[in-house]
Amino acid sequence: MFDDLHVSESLAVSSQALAADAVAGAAARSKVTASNEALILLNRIAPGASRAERTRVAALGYEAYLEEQLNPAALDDSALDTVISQTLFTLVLNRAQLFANARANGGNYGQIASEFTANFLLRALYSRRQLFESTVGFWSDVLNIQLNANAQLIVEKSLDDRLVVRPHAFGRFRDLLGASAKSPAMLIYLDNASNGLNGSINENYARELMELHTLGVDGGYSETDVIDVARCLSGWSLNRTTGDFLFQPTYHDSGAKRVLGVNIAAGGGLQDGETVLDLLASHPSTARYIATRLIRRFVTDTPGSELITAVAQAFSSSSGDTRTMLRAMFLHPAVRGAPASKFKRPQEFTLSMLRVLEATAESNGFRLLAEALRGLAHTPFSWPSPDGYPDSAPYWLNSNATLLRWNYAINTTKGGARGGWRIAWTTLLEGVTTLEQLIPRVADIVGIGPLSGSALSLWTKSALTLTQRQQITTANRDSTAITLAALMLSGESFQLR
Amino acid sequence: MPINRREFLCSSLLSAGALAMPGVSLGFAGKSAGGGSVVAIYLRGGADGLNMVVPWRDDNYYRLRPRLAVPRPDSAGGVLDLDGFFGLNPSMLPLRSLYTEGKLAMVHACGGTHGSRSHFDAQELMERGVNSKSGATSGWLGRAVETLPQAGIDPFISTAIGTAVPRAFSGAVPAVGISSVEGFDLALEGNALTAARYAIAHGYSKSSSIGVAAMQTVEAIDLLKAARPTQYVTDPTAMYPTGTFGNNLKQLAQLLKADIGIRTAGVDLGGWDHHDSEAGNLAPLLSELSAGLLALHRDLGSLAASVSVIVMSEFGRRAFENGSLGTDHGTGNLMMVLGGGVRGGRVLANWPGMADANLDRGDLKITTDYRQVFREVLAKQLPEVDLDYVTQDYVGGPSLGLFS
Repeated sequence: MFDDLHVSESLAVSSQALAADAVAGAAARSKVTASNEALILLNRIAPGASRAERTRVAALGYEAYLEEQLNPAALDDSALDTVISQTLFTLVLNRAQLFANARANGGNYGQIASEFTANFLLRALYSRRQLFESTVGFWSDVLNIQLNANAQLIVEKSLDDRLVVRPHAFGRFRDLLGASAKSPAMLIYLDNASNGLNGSINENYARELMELHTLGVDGGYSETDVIDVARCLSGWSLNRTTGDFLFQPTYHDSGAKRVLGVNIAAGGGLQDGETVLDLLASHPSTARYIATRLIRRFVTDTPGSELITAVAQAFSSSSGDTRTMLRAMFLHPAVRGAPASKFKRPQEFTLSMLRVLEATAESNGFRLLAEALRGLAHTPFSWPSPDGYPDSAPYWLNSNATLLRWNYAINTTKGGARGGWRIAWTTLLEGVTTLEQLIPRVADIVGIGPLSGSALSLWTKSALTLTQRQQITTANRDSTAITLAALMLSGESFQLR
Repeated sequence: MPINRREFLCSSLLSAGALAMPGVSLGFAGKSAGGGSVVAIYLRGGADGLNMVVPWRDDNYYRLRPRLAVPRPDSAGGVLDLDGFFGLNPSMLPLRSLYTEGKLAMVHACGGTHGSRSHFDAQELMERGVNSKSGATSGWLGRAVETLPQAGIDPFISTAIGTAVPRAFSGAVPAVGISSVEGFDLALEGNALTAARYAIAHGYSKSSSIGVAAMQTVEAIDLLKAARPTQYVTDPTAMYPTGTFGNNLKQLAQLLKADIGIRTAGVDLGGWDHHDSEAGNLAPLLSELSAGLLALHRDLGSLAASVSVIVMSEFGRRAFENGSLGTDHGTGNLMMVLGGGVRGGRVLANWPGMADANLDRGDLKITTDYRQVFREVLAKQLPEVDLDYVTQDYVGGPSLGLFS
């Protein structure tokens, strides 16, 4: 990713304009009163918001911010859209054009992969529609497709994101599931394209459809169900010329089937698969499974059953409407009253750092970010098995990841070419002349303030070690702040959202 | 645990600067009193054991896999015969010499009898060493390490090479995770480094998992500075495959040679879920795996006699091929045990046969619980361990005789 320097450089120019735009937009709408619960919500939806955005959301309040985020169309992202359309050229190409682009590049799909990933990271960094973007990430995990599994999937996954995940991310689950089941990317990734070829079924998609996309592994299906779902979906394949979805009757097992206790008469053809998707999407196990995954993605690895039931109820009563589920989840007292406790995954850690620092990319910024994410095993859309990146702290938390996180903070805060990102320390530290001012300011910038007594003491001692017990001067103010910021970004509270 | 090295180290970070200085021996990494090490290599995705160690004498194998079977010996692309019944996939050629030298044992028709064909459940159960989800939640290697005298003293006692620490290591004594031995250090110096060490020592909760990982990271940094594992050059006969897996094994060999107290270690190799076009996808993985195992064994030299490598995967694949020239999720599978004094050169299997009547819902039956292999390897390399505690609801069956 971003091995092509040209892409990383273009993104550098883009990101500078966008950071300024995002800050200006936030500042213009800010008011004064602070609200802790709104800030916790902000950190769940949009980890690493700038100080101006935090002020704005605190003034706006919990419900208003949530509703704002649930209506993304009303949030102006035109500046971001313009930059993306001027920088990332392959995002609007259709299948034939994408393959032609790769052929023109000597069979190299790097530009397509790199621009597709850049789109995701740019939106995560700068979009005002943060909840929408996080929800796109959520569904991308549930319906995981490994981008780099093969060259064809680089093209198809980028199309799937554009035509399946994004259009339905805030829509109804059955629509999303149906689009995914017919998506060439999914048909290729989980092999349903060849299900029924040579008169034999391929169980892969049928099994993962129930285990990972709908019912969950303990959702009440049997091995016989796996086989009969695979039979129902046999023939859901591709038009070999256009690459589009095509039902191939010759691959289809036309006999009678029985799925989850429901008889499906012989001769149903394409309708067999639709019947299966209807059954699965409306099944109570699916409501609980999707609700559990949603809570685990946004709030906690270990949700209580009352919360799961409430969100599952929202799913069932709204025919699987994602926004209804999100609203029920964030308004539930078990969420609203709870402090941040979710360990940031590497993407959230790195991106939230760049966001609190209001960083703008140098020519190598995105490349260094990609390198860090590769080291931390969280390259976008690259999880190698169909279950999606884990929402489980123990998976992400170990000595290897800890050291890589520390060093990413240390290198990034330095800014400039070495860190890969320009950070306006002079502006951020405006008015700071003493250590007593510097410590709370840096804590405020990185979003861990106001500091408790013990935290203030810790960071004061750390800062005094840095300056060898001297007061700061104009010569060492910024460098002291940089190291202190790196340490705070490595600290425990910044790891949580 | 005899002494709490972690607390000692953390509390002395500021005052005892010597601990953080390179080249100063900590004097903690003790050589264990006897016993060796266990290396767990996990093939994620359900490796097709039937096409790795092939029952070429079982005609049903060819009946069930008309297009996917590896041909009989002496045919083009045929198996390398091992014992007149089983043969090695030709892409695993590097392992043949280890097998004939008696350093490598195969265990077939092996696995967990829980019946789950879910990758994620089957991996989870196998790594926990249990047969049902209600069983112990720690990992089998985590439980094994927990009771060793050096637990909590030697930070590398349990070491996962790679970006993540596998589930098998979870437990009271978390494994160190390391993806790059070289450069495993904070990118700071001078006052900034001193300040960072202070903030790390005092800024984290002592009981939170984030805090524990932070302390462990500092310990690992210090110990690697003292032990300098990169001084151990790779044996010239060890030809590691290019890529992450080979590199991880190479680093594992350096750490083992550095004698920093590793008793259990893990390396993962993914990509084994071959529902389509299996032959072409399996061959390069088998080459990578086999070349890696051979290189590790050669590289370890005399140390290999006290290091047993176990190769495992969550389940085998269905006995019959599917419509996509691949195989779907099955049950019975292959395990391999290399080195550490294993009585190799044998395929150990109570072969269930592959006639329809002998299959389990279309899959190879399991005749050996995978934990029998765990128990025999642990008994040899970690004799201090309470096997019944590790394997929980499996109390052991007839001995495979992996070790004498």
